[in-house]
Amino acid sequence: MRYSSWLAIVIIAFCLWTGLEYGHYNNRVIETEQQLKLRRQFQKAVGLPNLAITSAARYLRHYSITDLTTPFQDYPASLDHFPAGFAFVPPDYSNMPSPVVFGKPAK
Amino acid sequence: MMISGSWFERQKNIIDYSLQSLLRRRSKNILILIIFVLLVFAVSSILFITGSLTQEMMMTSNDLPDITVQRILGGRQVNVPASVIPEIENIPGVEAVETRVWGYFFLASLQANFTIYGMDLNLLEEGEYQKIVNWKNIPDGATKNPDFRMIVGRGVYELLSDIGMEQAYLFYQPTWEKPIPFDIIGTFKTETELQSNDLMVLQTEGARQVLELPPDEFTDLVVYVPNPEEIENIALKIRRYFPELRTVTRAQIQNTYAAVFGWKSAFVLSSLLAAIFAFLILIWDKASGLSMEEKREIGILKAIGWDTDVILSVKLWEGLILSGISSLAGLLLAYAYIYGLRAPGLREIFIGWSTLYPSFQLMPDIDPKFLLLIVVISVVPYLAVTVFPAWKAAITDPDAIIRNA
Repeated sequence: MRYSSWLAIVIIAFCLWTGLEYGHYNNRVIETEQQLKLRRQFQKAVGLPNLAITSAARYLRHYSITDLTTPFQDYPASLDHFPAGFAFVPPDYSNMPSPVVFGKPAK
Repeated sequence: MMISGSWFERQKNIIDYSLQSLLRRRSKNILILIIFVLLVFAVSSILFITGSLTQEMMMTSNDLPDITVQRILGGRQVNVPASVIPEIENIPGVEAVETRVWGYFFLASLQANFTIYGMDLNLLEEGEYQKIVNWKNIPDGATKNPDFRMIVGRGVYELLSDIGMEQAYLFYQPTWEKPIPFDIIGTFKTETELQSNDLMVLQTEGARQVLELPPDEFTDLVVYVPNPEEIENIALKIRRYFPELRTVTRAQIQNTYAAVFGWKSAFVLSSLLAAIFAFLILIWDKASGLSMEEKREIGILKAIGWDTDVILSVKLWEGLILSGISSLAGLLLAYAYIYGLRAPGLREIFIGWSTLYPSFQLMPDIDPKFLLLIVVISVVPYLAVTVFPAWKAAITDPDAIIRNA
C-alpha cells in the first residue's frame, strides 16, 4: 500500500476519535443544562459563593468573600501554606467605587 | 514521475515522498512527535480544566446575593451586630436585608473542614427548593428536636457514613459541656455536588450553638437590591454609614470568578511558561539548521531536476503531517484526560490538602479561540522552521551543497 494511503487511514482514525469526543462533549453539555436548574435553586437557597473543590482553608473555600488580610498576606499570588493556594488568584477589588477621588475624574 | 498528473495526484506523490523522508529519520521524528504531543497535551489540559472550573462557577453566579455585607475589625472579619440592620433597610432601593449564620467546623479526627450554614430548613421543604434535596424517610417521632436537624452534602454524608454517623452527627468541641446531636434529614443531590459537597446546612438556631455565635450577632448580612443599577451606590452608602463594614457585590464576586484562573494566575502562567519554553527549545533545535544529510538530499534532488517549489512542498507536508497529527493527538488526549479520566494528578493541585472534595466531573468548556491558539503556537512556528532552512538549501547551487555537505 502507498504511504499516502496509510496517512489517509490515520486521518480517518483521528476523525473518528474526534467524532467520539465531540459526541461526549455534546452529551455532557446537555446533561449540564439539565442540572443547571437544580444548581441555580441551590445557589438561591444557599447564597455562599465558590466551588467546593478546596475545603482545606476558609480563604480557599470562599475566597471571593474572604478576609482581605488573611490569604496572600505578603504579596499577590505568593507561595501559600496550602498547596491549593498556588492555583488561585487573590480577589480583585480594583473596580470598587472609591469615595475619595484623586485628580481629575475620568470622562 | 513527480510533475505529471492532476494536482491531487501530484500532492499524493509528494506526500508519499514526505512520509518516506520522515520514516527515514524515524528515531528523531518519533522523539519530536512525542515531545510535541506532550506539550500540546499539557497546555490544553491546563486550559481545559481552568476553563471548565470558571464556567462551573459562572453558571450559577447570577443567583448570588446582590450585596454581601461583612464587618472588618483589626483587618479580620468579625460578627455583624443586629443594630446595623435597620439603617441598611432604610436605604432607598433596598428590598430586604437577610442575616446569615455560617462558618466552618474542623473535625480534627478526620482532618475534614465542613462548611456550616444556618437556615430555616422548612424553606427547603417547600416549592422548587424541595428538589435539591434527597429527603430521607424519617421514622415517626424523629422530629423531636426541630432545631437540631441538618441536610448535608454528598461528601460529608460519605465521610459520616464511614464513621457510622449517617443518621445523626454529634458536634463536639472540648470546651463544650456536652456534644450537640443533629439528625441528618436529607442529603443534597449529586447534581449540586460541586457547590454542596462540604456543606452542612443546619437549622439556624442549631447552627448558632455549633458556631458559638452570641445572640443578636450574625456572620454576615445579605442585601437584596431589585434594581441592578443601584447596587454599587447602595454598597457605597452602606460603607459610608458604617466604615467598619465591607461590601462585596455580585459583580465583584463574578470578577473574582473570571480572574481566578486567568492569565494572571500563578498556576496558569507557570505551567504555560514552562511549556512555551520547552517548545522554544524544540523549535530552536529544528531551526538551527538542516543536518548534512538533509542538505545533501536537497542538493541531489535539485541536481536531478526537482523544482524548488516541489522541494518546499515536500518539507511543508513533512512539517504539516508531524505537527498536525501531534497537535490533534495532544488535544484529544487532553480532552479524554480531563473529562473522561477526571484529571488524576492535575486535580490534586486544586484539591490540595482537602479531605472533602467532589468527583471532578466537570462540564466541558472548549473555546474555539483556544483551539486556534494551540494551532498558532504549535503548527505555525514548526512549519516556519521546517520550510525556511529547506528553502535556503534549495536556492543554493546544488553543486556547492553536495560538495560542502
